[in-house]
Amino acid sequence: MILFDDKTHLQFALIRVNSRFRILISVILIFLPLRGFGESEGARVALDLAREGDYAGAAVEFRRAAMESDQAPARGGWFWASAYEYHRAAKLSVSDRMLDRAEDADPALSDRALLLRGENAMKGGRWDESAFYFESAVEGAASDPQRAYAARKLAASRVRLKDVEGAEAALDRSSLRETDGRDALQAYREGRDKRPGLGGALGMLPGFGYFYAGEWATGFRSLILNSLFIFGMLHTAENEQWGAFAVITFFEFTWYSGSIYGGIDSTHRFNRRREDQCVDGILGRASFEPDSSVLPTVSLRFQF
Amino acid sequence: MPGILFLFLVVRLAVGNMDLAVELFEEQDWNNCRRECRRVFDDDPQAEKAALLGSISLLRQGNDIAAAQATLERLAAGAADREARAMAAYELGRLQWARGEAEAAARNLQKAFLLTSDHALFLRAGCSLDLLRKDSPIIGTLDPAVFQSLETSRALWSRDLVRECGMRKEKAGSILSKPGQWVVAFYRRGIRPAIGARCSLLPSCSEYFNQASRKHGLLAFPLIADRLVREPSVVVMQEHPVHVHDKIRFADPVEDHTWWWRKGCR
Repeated sequence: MILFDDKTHLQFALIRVNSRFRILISVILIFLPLRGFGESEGARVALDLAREGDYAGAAVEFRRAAMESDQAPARGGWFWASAYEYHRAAKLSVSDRMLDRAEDADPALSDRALLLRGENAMKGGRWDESAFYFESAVEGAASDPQRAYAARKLAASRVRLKDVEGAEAALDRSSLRETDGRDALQAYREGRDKRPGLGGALGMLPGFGYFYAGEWATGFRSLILNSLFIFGMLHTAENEQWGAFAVITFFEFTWYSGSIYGGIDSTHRFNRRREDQCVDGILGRASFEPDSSVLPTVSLRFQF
Repeated sequence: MPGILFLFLVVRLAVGNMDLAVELFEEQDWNNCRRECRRVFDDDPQAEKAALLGSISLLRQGNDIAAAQATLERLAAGAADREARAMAAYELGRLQWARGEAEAAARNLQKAFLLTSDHALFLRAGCSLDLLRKDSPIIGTLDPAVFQSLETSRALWSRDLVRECGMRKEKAGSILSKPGQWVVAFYRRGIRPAIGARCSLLPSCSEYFNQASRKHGLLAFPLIADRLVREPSVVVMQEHPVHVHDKIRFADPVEDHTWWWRKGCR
């Protein structure tokens, strides 16, 4: 399902509602992209670079377009586009700086800047911050799709913060029904996290830490390896082959410490996977991208 | 050497069409900064500052150092702008110092020290020159006037500045990282040539052990033991595939198994 934010949505609605304006509006829609591209030659290069996957290069081109533009709203739009590409290039701090400039140039962009700030914080694993930004984005959403998107992201951030109630409350604020998200939250609530300390303690019995986290194959491999090396230690000690004993003991210490470490790590892995599943369930295929044909006007296209 | 070092100068040197290049330089985005400088330089082949910034970016990137050095030498010898000349001489001096060409380095650092009227570069060139003298006694005695200026400005060198100007040598890692590195070195020399590279994960198990040893010392042993027993399961799950030289490998970095050490991290 593809939804447009208010501005674009309105354009399509007008076409449907009033046939007398159809031609006029069609002409406007045709010329909108030209107006955008006319602002800067670099924007075309930027779009090509983004298509080729060179997001950092695209961000620089958009940034140049912004710096060359003498109209504040256009400058804001280009900076926002640059921030978006920097986000895709995982240059999060630069993306945030571009958003500052976008908002300075055009304060009306603040709702879309909030979304991207939240995305940056999420990508950087700063869940408190992302929750804050998406909370604000839900409150200040300019359209239903934007609200639904921000609500899902807010719920996901809350799950990362282990605040399941908060996540549920966030989904309540969405403009969509969010059945899948609620099911994912319910499944998460019904399940239980494993305890890393217990995983480590069980790991003292080779392989049992992995068993605890449900990694049976890994557990059996650890058990077999440790058993073989312990047997080797005993055998060489009985035969007083102390050189071989020293070598085998060194390896056995490694396997044994690995079993304990793996017991802890696998429980963390289990918990994270559970959390990831819940977050994936909440987010579904939610994503957004700017409509590149109308840049530097920032019109977002949401997908759910 | 930190890229931030030149901000003081670069910002001042910036002219209209260099704004973006300067910002990219600040962000240490060397590749794009170099591209941007190239663009400015193509528009105006006389743009010394673009050539200077571009060659410094090239140096920081570590690519084509010979080309960067040639540009710096040209600028240090004949740039019209005095500060650009001083900056190029300073960068060249640092580069030569890093390569062990002490005498040439001393000449260029001294040139930067005497030419510049910028406070930040004056301090850095002086401090670097002094450290170089201590590092390489073969340089001999300085011009008495330069020596006097160095002694006068010494009081202005903060501890941070001295640390910044010192030529850092590549850290080999702590003593606790050695056993792991020895094991990896033995494996790479004695075993891998016989059995070939057969790890399906990225980084390979030996590289994983090497990285873990450097970062976490002896804790690398449980980490590699865990990795070795997990490897077949990771391959079966086929998560995070990465194409490397026409082969598919599966990403399993050290950080994925140590992230929970950080306090408060989930």
